[in-house]
Formats: sequence, C-alpha cells, structure tokens
Amino acid sequence: MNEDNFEHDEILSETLKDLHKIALEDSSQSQPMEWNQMENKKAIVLTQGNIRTNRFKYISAAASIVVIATIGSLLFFALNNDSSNSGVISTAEKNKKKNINQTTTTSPQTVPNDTSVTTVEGQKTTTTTVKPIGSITTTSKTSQPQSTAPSVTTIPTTTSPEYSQIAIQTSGNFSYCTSPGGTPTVTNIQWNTMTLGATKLLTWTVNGDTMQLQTYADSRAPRGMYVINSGGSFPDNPPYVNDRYVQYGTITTTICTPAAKLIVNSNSTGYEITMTEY
Amino acid sequence: MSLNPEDITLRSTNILTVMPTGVDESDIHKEYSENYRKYLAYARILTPSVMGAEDLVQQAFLNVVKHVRNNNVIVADALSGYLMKSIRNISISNHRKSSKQSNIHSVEDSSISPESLHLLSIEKQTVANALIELSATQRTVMVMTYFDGFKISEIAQELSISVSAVKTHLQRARKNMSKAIEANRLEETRKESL
Repeated sequence: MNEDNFEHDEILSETLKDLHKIALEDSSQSQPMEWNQMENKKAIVLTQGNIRTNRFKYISAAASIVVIATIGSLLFFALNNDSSNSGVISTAEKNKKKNINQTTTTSPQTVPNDTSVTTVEGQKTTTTTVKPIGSITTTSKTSQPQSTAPSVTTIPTTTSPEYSQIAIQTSGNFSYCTSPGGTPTVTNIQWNTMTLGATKLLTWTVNGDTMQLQTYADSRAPRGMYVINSGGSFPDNPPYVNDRYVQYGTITTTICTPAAKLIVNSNSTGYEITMTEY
Repeated sequence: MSLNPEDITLRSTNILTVMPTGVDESDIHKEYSENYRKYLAYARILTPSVMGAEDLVQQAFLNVVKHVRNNNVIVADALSGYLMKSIRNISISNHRKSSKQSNIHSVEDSSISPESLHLLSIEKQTVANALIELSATQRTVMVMTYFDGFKISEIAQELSISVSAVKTHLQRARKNMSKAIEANRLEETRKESL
C-alpha cells in the first residue's frame, strides 16, 4: 500500500479508527429516525434535490417556451395579418367589418359553372356586363355608326361556384382607349377577380386589345382577405374585400382619361363591368 | 445400486435449507433499527457533515429497500456489506452532484466536534483535519484502504472504477494529506513560537 512512501500510514489508520470510535459514541446518544418518517423526509429531500439539479433544465425549458411562443406568435401574425403595412391593415380591417355588415343584408349568389365573355369590336362604347356572378357578358351600344362590323369573341371560362365571391383588382396598363378625344394613359389592364385563393385568368379582346379578368389572391393580404388594388382611380369604397363576402357597390376607374371609363359594378346579382369610351 | 426416492427427497431438502435466503423489507427495517449507529459512524468518517452522514445512511437503506422491492435478491449475510457499499457510493455521488452545483452551498457541520477532536492527540487532530480537506472520492479511498483494509482491486470493484483510477485517487489523497499535515505542523510550530 505504501507505494509512494506515505509516512502517515499508521497514524492515518489509527486516526480513522479513533474517529469511528468517537462517532459511534456520539451516535449512541441519538435515536434513529422512525422508518416512515425517514422515508417521508427523504422523499422531500429528493424532491428538493431534483429541483436544484434540474434548475438549469427548468430555466432552459422556460426559455425555450418563451422563444417558441414568440416565434409562434410572429408566425401567427405573419400568416393572419399584413404586418408589413400597418395602414393597409387598419383599412382592411375597417372594410372587412364593412363587408361583413353589408353581407348581413344581402347574401351572395352562387356562380354557374361556365362564364362567357362576349366582346363587340369596333364600337365607341362598350359595356361589359357580368351577370350573374361569375359570368361576364359584353354587350355593346352603338353611339356612332361604325364602318366595320363588330367582331364578337366569346371566351368561355370555368368559373365554378367557389368563385362566387369575387372582388376585382386592376393593374397594369390599358391600350384600348384610343378614342378620338382622349389620350391613352393606360396601355393594358388586368382584371383580377379575387376568389377563394384560386387564381383564374379570363381573357378577351376588345378591338384587338387583350383584356384579362383573373382571380387574384394578393400575397400581401392576410389569409382570408384579398386586396382590391386600384390601378386607376378606384373609389375608396371599399378598397378591400374579404374572401368570405362579396363586395357590393360600384367601383369606377378611369383607365383612359378622359376618353374611357371603366365601371365595375358588383352587387348581389352579379358583376357588371362597363367600359365606356367617350 | 438403486436409488431410494426418499433419499432424493431428503437430499433436495438439505440443499434447499443450505441455500441462502434473500432479505425482505422487514429484515431491512430490523437492520435499520438495530445497527443504524454502526452505519452512521462509518458514514461520519466518510463525510465531514453529521447531517450528511445521516442522509447517507438513510439513503442507503432506502436504496436497499428499493432494490428488494424490484425483486432483486440480497443475501442476508451480504446486507451489511451492501449497505456499506451503498453509503460509500452515495457519498461519492453526492460529492459529484454538489461539485456540479457549485453555486449552491449548504452550511455543513463538521463530522468531528471540537470536544471529540480534543480526545485525539495533536498529531491525530492534524490528520483528521487533513482528511476532511480531501475530496469525497479521495476520502472514501483512504477510508477503504486504511480503515476497511480493502485492497486496491477490491476498492476498484466496490466503487466500480478501474484499478489505475483507484491508484491515482490514492496517490493524490496521500499527496494532499501530506501537504495538509505539513501545513498544519508549520502552523502549530508558528503558534508555539508566538
């Protein structure tokens, strides 16, 4: 045992024996704790020990929960709100409420499966009517005699009932407006009908110019809400629509000032799109 | 030679009576009430705290009960050794836990009261104080070596560590003890000179 020339072997051994003897004498004065009492005590001590031992774990768990909750709430707001534009949100919420109120008075109709778009060319004034919801019909009124016979293009669409909730967005430019008195300010136009998240494009031509009507789901908008964006001069009422509710009222935009005016009228019976060239 | 079936029965009966029996909870309770002081005294040379020693003994008994409740067999003759081993292991385990929780300090009472220390000679007091300064593992190894009389291989087996680890602990413990004893001696000499 004495491998390292430990010079205290004997004294250490004797000391330990003495200490044990003293401890025995000391402990003879005390009675052992009752077994049940001891079990209960140890249970409490173990619990406290676990609390101490796991203190770091608890702190880590709490921190993880806070981080997860923060990330979760951020994701929640990101998915359900357009957090990048607070002004838009407030307006959206206002109009959402407005739309809800409007819907309580009138219920939207379902849309037939097929929608057709008819275009009459060569007319000064073109009225595009969409009735009932989801079907777009273009009619023409002849305000001036035309030299050429109007060509009518019918574009079938596959609007399904789920697209009954339609809102409209204009964007891009429009080149149709080649009226004698006006200067085209818009070269193209896209009609974006916002539906239940699906994107659908309806295309027709007027006087050789392509017109498009498409469903649109604005990625900037929170889920369940779609933005009507005015490419021209949409009136303010309402600039937003919720996918659950049909937008009612008339939206007018001037796409070729002052020669052409586009009127989009949506009400409970359908959409009416009127394109008038002055 | 023909075998008598009665002989076979008798032989098997004899074998059964020779087989050691495992302890049950009542045996452990009995051991606790009768020999608690013995284990406590042993625990008190392993840990510098009286309360710590009591905890060691109590935890050791509870571990044995838990072991038996899990349908493990502890032979009656080995119960005492099992408890001693458990006390030693818990002592080392508690030291490891407490060293991990360095920010948690408990007020520990000394295992040896000043009155008791005065019963020892000055040299033994120095050794006792040096022993307290050792870590739990080193103290346990020293106790097993110089009090229990275990060999290094037996210590390694008891503590479930390698022989070389035991040697290392023992070497460090001796070195630390030598330093502590020397320092105590110098201190005593300085006091006497004053």
